[in-house]
Amino acid sequence: MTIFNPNDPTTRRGIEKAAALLEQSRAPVVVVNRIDLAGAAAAVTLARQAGAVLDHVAPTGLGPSQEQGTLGTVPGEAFLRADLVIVAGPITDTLAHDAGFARLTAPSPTRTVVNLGSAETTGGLLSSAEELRLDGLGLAEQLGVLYALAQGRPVSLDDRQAAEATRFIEQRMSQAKYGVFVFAPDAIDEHAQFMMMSLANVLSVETRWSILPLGRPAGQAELIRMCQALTGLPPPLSFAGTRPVHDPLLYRAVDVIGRRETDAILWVSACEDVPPDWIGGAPLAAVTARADAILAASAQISIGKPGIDYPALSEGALTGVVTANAQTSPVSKASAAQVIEAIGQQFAASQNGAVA
Amino acid sequence: MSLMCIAGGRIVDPASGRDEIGDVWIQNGRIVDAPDGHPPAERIDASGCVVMAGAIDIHTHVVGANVAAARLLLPERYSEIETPPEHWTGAPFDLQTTGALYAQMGFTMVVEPAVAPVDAAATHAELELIPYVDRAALSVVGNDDVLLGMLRDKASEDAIADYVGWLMTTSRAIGAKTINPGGVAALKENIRSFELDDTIPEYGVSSRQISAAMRKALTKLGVPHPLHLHTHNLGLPGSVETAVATIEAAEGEPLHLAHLQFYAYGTEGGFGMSSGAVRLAELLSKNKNVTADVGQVMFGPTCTISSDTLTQFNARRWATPKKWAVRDGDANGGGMVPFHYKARSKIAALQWAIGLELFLAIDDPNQVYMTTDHPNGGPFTSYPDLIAQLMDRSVRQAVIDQLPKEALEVSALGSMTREYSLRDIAVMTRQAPARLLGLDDRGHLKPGAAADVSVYRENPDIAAMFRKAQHVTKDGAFIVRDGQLAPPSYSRTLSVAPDYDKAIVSHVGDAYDRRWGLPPETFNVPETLMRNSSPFEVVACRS
Repeated sequence: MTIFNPNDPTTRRGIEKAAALLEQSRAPVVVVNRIDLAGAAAAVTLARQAGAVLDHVAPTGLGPSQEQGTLGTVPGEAFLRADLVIVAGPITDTLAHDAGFARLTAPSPTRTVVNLGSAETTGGLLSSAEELRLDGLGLAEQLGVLYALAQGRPVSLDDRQAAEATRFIEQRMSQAKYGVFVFAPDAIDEHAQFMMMSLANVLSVETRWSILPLGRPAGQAELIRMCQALTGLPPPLSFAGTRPVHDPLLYRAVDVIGRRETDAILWVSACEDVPPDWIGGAPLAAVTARADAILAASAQISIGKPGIDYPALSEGALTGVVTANAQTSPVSKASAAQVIEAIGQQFAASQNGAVA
Repeated sequence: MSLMCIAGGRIVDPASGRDEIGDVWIQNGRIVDAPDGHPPAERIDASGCVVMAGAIDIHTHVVGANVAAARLLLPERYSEIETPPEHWTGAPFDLQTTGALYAQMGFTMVVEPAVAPVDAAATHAELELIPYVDRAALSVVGNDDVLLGMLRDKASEDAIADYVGWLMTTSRAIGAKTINPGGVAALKENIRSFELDDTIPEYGVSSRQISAAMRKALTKLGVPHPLHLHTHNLGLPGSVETAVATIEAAEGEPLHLAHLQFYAYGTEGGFGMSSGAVRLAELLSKNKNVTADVGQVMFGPTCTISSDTLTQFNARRWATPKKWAVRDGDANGGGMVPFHYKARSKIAALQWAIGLELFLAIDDPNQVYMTTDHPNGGPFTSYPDLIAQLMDRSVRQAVIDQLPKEALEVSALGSMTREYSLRDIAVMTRQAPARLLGLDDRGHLKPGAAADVSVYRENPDIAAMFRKAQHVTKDGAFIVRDGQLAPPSYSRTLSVAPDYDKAIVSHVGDAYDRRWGLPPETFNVPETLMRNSSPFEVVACRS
């Protein structure tokens, strides 16, 4: 059983301050980082209660998949079946530390790994990988060239590169039995993602190609799932009106804060991360598993880490789905949901008092 | 809870043989006999009303990873919704709205029919957010490497039953569903069509073998709900042959066919598609071991959501608007393809007609269940319109008059005069679904039943009558009263926990280790991680 004492004086003060900050705000923003499913549900409920904008700290990057067809796969299938893996774009820290990525790109007698882009982008992490690079072109353009060639369309490339790309399409990609594009969704732009999906689709007319985003920002899947379950819509969301509104152009937290359209920020992060630089310019309250003080925060309430300090449902890198994670630490700490719900209760109590 | 009487309504309860003006008594959340001389603490005047047990939807896609993906695909559609029931745009409702809309129509239980076992924890976390109604889920089994490997290795029937029992127990399912058996696994090997006796190259196992193994496993486990089968060739002209072969392959064993309408297509007529509904109805009348839900098509936009990735992969070309998502998954995966059933389309018109033909041609309402395969054929909020079309020939004739004539020329619907009675509706939407799921205390109003009661004010506009119940009780408490929703309350998720040999877990563990490097416990659904206290209730298996 998780230990949570909302009447602990330090916790109480933090909860009251955070609730007061939201209550006094005309345009609050709730920014979520790592979170478990219950914490995400609580964050959605609190944002609705406070009429806030709600978003994940990392842009969700859903644009391309909402605009065209997408063929996807999951880490388990890719690991068992993929004979050709193309790592598209840079290997971010998150991707490099993703357990599913490590398994999929490890040397294997049945699988070839190719880095599409440039050696610099891999940071030397894929020493066993082959490389395909079309000089002078960005990732989106390289994918675009392959897409055009896969459809038999002419491309404007020098003969050597055109021959190399054509050979790669004909002898490698078209011959793959189960090809997978792997990428970090927060590391490549939407244009590149769009071209990658298009390429997977056109190759799949004859064989099987899928895309597999890995190293997704922690907590994003949980927040999207609960946002949608509770409102029908993914983040970013504004609860300022009578109905929640999803508008990725208007309500991305980074933009709302950057445009100084907020007067209060609640940072929710069930890990050690500090808020990114763009979070500022307005009073800040933090619900965080970070032990050290976040200097900019006027209120800070301590929580544990899901699956470590308290049992939780959260996404696993190896599975790509939300599963149950038992507590591993001998000492229990408050869960994100407990603290966020306590802020919500305090918020409601203050509002009722104001009405009375 | 104090004694309550719903008094003076027309009680339509086929299980007790009642179709009469009378009373229904409730105490402590249960239906009770009329007490001698005890006045009720509360008397609800039901004169001018029809009183039935709460309705049960046995096949409605309301939660899970695929529904979440559909929401992600169509956020602009959801934003268009102002008043959801009247303005369905194809994007799945949020869960609060889902529960509220079901309750308002007099439903007290819904079954999510396609839970991927690996996603069961998240799915149950969503399911329990649906207010007002009981919930249940079917586990998807049949394209997973563990089962296919066991069949390839000629594992014993007992071992397969143990595996299925373990999977259902850990994923907290009330039944098991097999979706395009073998076909989904074959797609991963780039096979684009799959028939009953085709084999998956990697395993050498056929669809027929998979279905037979699953039927036997469920019988052995004593799971009340028979295999819930989504067979192959869904939606294709000529699929009636697949349905016929599937029914015959059951060899008299219990079988439930999901959304049969999508398999009732012949190949005759000017546009290469015709109705096979009457043929299937005749076959069902001879095979009482088989039940079916219809998956009725209703006109309008929707988003098809299915774990039949083979079908959805092939259907992606018809996406409207031109976006879709198909994902291989651990076992089945999912495909989300938006679609618009237009009344002016010959094919959509014929699909609508075929669904109604099935309802009207299958004599026994215990064998046929009202579903739209929400949202695949249309939203569940169209049930009142569907009931009106079944109960009133003039209502469906008004629809027929708007449709392309070519569609009706290859359908028998125009010549069908049958009109459903209230008793038929009560059997199809209450009694039969409860029996199919093994719920002895639901679907009827006999003493001892859960006090799940729907009260509808009689109205010549049948759709209006069934769209907004006057009163609905769940376990004796009002969830709708005088047409108004009560504040949200949360009921239970029902599941089975069959006996199985725990030794199977080590075999499963090896397979899970190969796939993920993780133990099978990773995929458990712990009650302690659910939001509500005591969210689960176990339904007894047959001994």
